[in-house]
Amino acid sequence: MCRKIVITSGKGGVGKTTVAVNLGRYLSDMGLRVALIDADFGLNNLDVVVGVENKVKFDLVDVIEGRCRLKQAIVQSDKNKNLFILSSGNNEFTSTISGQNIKIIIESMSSFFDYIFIDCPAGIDLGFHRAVSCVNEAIVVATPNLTSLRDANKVVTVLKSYKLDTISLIVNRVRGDLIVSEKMMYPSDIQNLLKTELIGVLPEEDAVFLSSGYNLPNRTDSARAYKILANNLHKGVRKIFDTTNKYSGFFGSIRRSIKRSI
Amino acid sequence: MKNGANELMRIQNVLEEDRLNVGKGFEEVLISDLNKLLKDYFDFNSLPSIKLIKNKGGYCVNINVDITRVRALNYVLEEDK
Repeated sequence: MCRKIVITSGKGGVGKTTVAVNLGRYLSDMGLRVALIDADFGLNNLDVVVGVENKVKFDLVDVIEGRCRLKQAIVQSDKNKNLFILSSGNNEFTSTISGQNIKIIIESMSSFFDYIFIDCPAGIDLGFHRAVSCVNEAIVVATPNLTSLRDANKVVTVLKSYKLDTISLIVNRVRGDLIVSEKMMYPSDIQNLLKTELIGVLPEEDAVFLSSGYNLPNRTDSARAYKILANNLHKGVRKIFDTTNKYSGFFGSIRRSIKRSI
Repeated sequence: MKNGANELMRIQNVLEEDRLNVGKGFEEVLISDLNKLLKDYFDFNSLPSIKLIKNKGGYCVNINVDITRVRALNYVLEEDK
């Protein structure tokens, strides 16, 4: 049965699109058919991050307004053949987009995919509610700082009113060196603060920035963390990537000193 | 105390304050219901006030009302007929 999951956060810039794309990528590597839908009308980025912006001829708005068929708007990734993208277009001013319209489109897609992820816009206004009203599950992405956690807390409160099957938490941009130095809180503390189940921890790493969030080199901590996350999501296990591992002990203290001096 | 623990405490306080912020509509409805209930037991001239505060890991509701008289329960006053 198709799992329909919204990826949201409240605060912008915490890594929702990067998480959606990489979750999609690593689940598709497991042989699952995954669709990513960009619900950020006007500020769409999903197509660019996956690198299919030149293949997009039609978008979700074209489908809703009857200018094309749904399969004409769905674009297959060149690098991951099980990964498909439905872009939102760059026009935010359209009155035809409603949660109900998007829900109908997702329902018609659901028999062809194992996972449908909706990349939600930032905030908790109309765009958020349009996205959340179409799904059964939600993943909240937060970073370990006050503003992100405060917004994530508000998002979790609103999500609970939708009576979704599951609401899960991913903590992004975690610095293991700062956790060991007791300058950053543990992801488990964030889980307790937000009272939401933690399904993944993703490290802060240059490789994510340099690869524009996609095409992570396989030997990076981020790639390992995403693989663990995809496994957690699909198989229901709860193994959490340890960002502090390489910063503990004698050699860990040397790494921390080097990182501080950079 | 290290920064991480400081930050955690600060965030805890901020989130708890946010959770206490029940909104004006909630307060108005609650005060209206309390007013009706308390009028069966007391005479008073102004609306009750409520305050939600943190208390021992949970929350506490403080209700304040300045009463002029306690109504007896076992008979009906002339003016109430």
